[in-house]
Amino acid sequence: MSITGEARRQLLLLTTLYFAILFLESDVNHVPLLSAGWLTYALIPVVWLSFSLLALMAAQLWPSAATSRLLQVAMIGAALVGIIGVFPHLAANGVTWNNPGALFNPALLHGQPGPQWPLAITIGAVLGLIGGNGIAQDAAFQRAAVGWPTRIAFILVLIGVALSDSLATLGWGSSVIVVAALFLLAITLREIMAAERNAA
Amino acid sequence: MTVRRFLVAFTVVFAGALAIETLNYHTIATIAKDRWAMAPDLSGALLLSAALLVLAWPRRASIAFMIGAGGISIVVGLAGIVFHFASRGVPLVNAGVVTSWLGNPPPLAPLEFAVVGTLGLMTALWERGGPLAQIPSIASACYGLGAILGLAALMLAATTALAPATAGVIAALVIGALGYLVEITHSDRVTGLDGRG
Repeated sequence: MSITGEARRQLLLLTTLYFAILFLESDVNHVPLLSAGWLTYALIPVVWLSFSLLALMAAQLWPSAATSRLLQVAMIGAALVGIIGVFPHLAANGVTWNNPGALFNPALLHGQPGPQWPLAITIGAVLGLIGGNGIAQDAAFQRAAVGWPTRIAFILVLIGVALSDSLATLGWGSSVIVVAALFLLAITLREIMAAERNAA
Repeated sequence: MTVRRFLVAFTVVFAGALAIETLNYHTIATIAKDRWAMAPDLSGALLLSAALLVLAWPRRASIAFMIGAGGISIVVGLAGIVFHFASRGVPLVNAGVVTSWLGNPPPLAPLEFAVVGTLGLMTALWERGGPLAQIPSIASACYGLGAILGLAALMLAATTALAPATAGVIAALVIGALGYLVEITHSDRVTGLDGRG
């Protein structure tokens, strides 16, 4: 199952936007936990989402077999992080080997943290896998250079990710990611409309 | 099976998951406090129904419906950020302060509605993405039933019957998945006709 040209561009932009949202949500909820002395594996989704964002941007800026493979690795890893992440979230809601009955508690889906939340990363990974599949063979995608608005959005994502590493700058990092996400949404919509005009 | 149909089916799953999520977290207490909290419950179910309808009956009217539902979802997603941020009682000038982004409601989560709305727009407008095609009638019936259940969930959510609305969305997803299963197991019968007539 593959996708070509401008549709690939749109889908990868949309996936980058989605991962930026997931990064911010994961970051603002997990980094303070780490500072409070929680288990360091709470850092795994933050680190992997950062890596996934880098892989997504690299595949769009420098489409090749290597960046395509890098993106596949990032997305398969993200899918696993999402599935495995369900279990610590379940545990945080009282579902343990000693208390499996809590799994059938109707209030489980309202939990804080919600056990279903990590699956959002798996959903995003599916989009990334489709968008990244066959980049090396897609001449139309490789010919169309990434425009400067997209490059600016990517730089904003990079700045946001870098600032979000520390609790001291997390607020600024979050603000930059929000701006980047809104910018990416505007660019994706513009790309879709431009493609529609070209088709007409 | 075209990528385009897969992405429409993916929109169904994504919109359904978001609808379940907000139906669970935007409780009756929240809606009583702020009636706009109902908006994502409705837009999620609407986009779910619209995408299922496109899978069942790929014609100009259903595609136009999906474009409209996608547009509404984008607006809901953008407005949601403002609502979620404002509900913390933090002035916008303090957006760089750490605590302004921490806690609940999640600050950027509403933008997921904009993502799924954009995905819906993309698949609806992507005419070169392959035909939306003729499919087995059992699959069409499943999608159609799923669309009706999604619309029923929309009506229930509008009357703040959130638990039955959640059940309606789950039922729509299950029946839609059944339709998709029939479709992929009968993919050799897909004729490649452009179903827009």
